[in-house]
Amino acid sequence: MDDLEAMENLVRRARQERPPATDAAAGALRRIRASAGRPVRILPLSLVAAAAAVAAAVVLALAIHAWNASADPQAALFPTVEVAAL
Amino acid sequence: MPRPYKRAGTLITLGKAIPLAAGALAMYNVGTVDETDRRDIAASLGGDEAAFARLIRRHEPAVAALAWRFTRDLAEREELVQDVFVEAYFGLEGFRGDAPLEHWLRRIATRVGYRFWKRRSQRGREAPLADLDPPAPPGETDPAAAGAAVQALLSRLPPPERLVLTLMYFDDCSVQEIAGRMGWSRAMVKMRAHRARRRLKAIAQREHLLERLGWTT
Repeated sequence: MDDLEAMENLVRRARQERPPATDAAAGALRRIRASAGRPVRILPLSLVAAAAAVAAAVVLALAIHAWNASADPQAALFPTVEVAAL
Repeated sequence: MPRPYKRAGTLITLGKAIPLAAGALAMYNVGTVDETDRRDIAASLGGDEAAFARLIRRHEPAVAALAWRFTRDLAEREELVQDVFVEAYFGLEGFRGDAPLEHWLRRIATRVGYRFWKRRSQRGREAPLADLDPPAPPGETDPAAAGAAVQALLSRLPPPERLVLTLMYFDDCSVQEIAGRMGWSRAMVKMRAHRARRRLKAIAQREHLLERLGWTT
């Protein structure tokens, strides 16, 4: 008999094992009640969302300001082209 | 023809009667789900705690037997069984009813057990392999001792390979079933089974399994 055959023999015997009984109903229901009654904590999420919104607004304001400050926005984007043309 | 069961709704809490329960019962016109289960599922979705307790009691032996293959520690197993039913409760809305409830619970139990092994393997725990006491011929080995020995050997495998062999050995799962249960491809399951057997053979040799079992001739 080799090791794998021995293993298969063990598995055949192990399949006949009767596991001890459990009584999980009370514990599971208690945990379900506890989970269902727990309020969802949205405050941290709200803070992150607010911070992201403020950051986005600042970036947008700076971008608009920069755009308006340039005389010809399209020319300002390609200054090197003008130099090359000269 | 199985019909998918979908219901618009948010969190169902026990003890809250939701008027959709009667409608849910009507939508469960599927032959594959046991009639008693179907009634209790609908009642559970309606917030009937006693109905869900009946579901637990009816399916607990099957779930506990599978959980036993994930841990032989009684307290850990009890927690795993609870995890399965808690997860089942909160996922009950997603149960499509196109297969018996027990299949669905086995799928959840497999995933819960797999997560448990992955957590445990990070801590580097593996069961010790004890000698059989008393030694017995192959056909007369004490089933509990054989079970402990098999699980100790399997615990030396990485969780994915251990899972494949555990489901094949103890839950009579085919490659297709394991792939479906875990969301893996069939090729991956086959490869893991092949690797697991090869690795297991090496482990058995290293651990002198035959000598420990007293099966050397």
